[in-house]
Amino acid sequence: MTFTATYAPALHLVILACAPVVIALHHSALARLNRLLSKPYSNQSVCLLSILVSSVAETVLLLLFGLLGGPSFFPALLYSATLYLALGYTYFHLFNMSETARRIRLLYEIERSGGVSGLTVNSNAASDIPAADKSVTTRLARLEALGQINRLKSGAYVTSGVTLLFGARTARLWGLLIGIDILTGR
Amino acid sequence: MSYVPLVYGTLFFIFALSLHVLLWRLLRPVKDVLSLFILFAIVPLFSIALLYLPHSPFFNLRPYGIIELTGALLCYCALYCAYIMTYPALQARCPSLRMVLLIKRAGGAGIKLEEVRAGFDTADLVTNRLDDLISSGLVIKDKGVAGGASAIAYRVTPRGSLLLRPFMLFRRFLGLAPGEG
Repeated sequence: MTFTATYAPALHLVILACAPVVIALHHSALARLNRLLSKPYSNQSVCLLSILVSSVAETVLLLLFGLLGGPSFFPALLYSATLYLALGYTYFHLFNMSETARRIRLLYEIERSGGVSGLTVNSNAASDIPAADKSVTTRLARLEALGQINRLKSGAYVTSGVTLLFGARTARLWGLLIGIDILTGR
Repeated sequence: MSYVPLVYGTLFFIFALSLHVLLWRLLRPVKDVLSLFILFAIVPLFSIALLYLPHSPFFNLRPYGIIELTGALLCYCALYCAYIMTYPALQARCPSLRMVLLIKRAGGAGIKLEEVRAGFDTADLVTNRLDDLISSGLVIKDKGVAGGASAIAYRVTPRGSLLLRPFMLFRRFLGLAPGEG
């Protein structure tokens, strides 16, 4: 019996478990390439592209070791796809946390201001921390860049994509199930 | 590979989610993210005990091979990690998701920037999260240190630095400036 045949199931799990590392390596290369473009894509788009490219790399690896063939093709494919999608989704959100999460951003801003006195926040306005207005416009610009909303000539925003809308509706429904309404906060 | 790792991994996950919904409906924990992590660790241990204890009614349903069990646990971990990454968006009422819902509600005429801004004040976007950081022990505040009696100075605790550092390293690895997003 060959090495691959003996250890095939374990090798299959190892290749899939390494998916986040494979994605991170691709992401690192693609993010650097993106910065060289005259009109760079949004960071989120580059992250999604890295997940897509890595899925091809993972599939090639599985095929090279003969782990996606024979009588167990369907269960192996279903298992691999489920695991990869879950890990890819986790990676995307982890990256997004470093990109957009307010708590991480606040921690960074406070740490950056450093020193004994730290960050100063006046009692009536959050002067040094990212202003609420800026936070709103940054998010709207990001949603526009992702093709999820459009700005009409009148200046009004309308939805254009369905991906985030579907995500928002699903999140709201799930939130209601566990007792958190993301829209009203009740 | 058989369907066993996928089926058991998914069942463990559904079991964990059901417990999560039940607990949150009955009494939502104050430290909810920490509670989710604890639940994440307890469910597979409990499930394995149910499957492998000799007198358990589920003993005959246990996966036979160690690889099948490992595959099931890996599947459970991946699904649960995906859920844990989604949860903060719910808990902190992710502004981006709310913006999309607000804009959709406005219909074809759309919604103006001022109207979107009206729905998101400083407390909503900044100070509530700052309170979260303080209650989690990641940030401390020193009253009256800088700028007189009306000013409050915030500092990141060693625990906060420990949480922040991996994110900064991660962004550096990607060639992105920290805090750029």
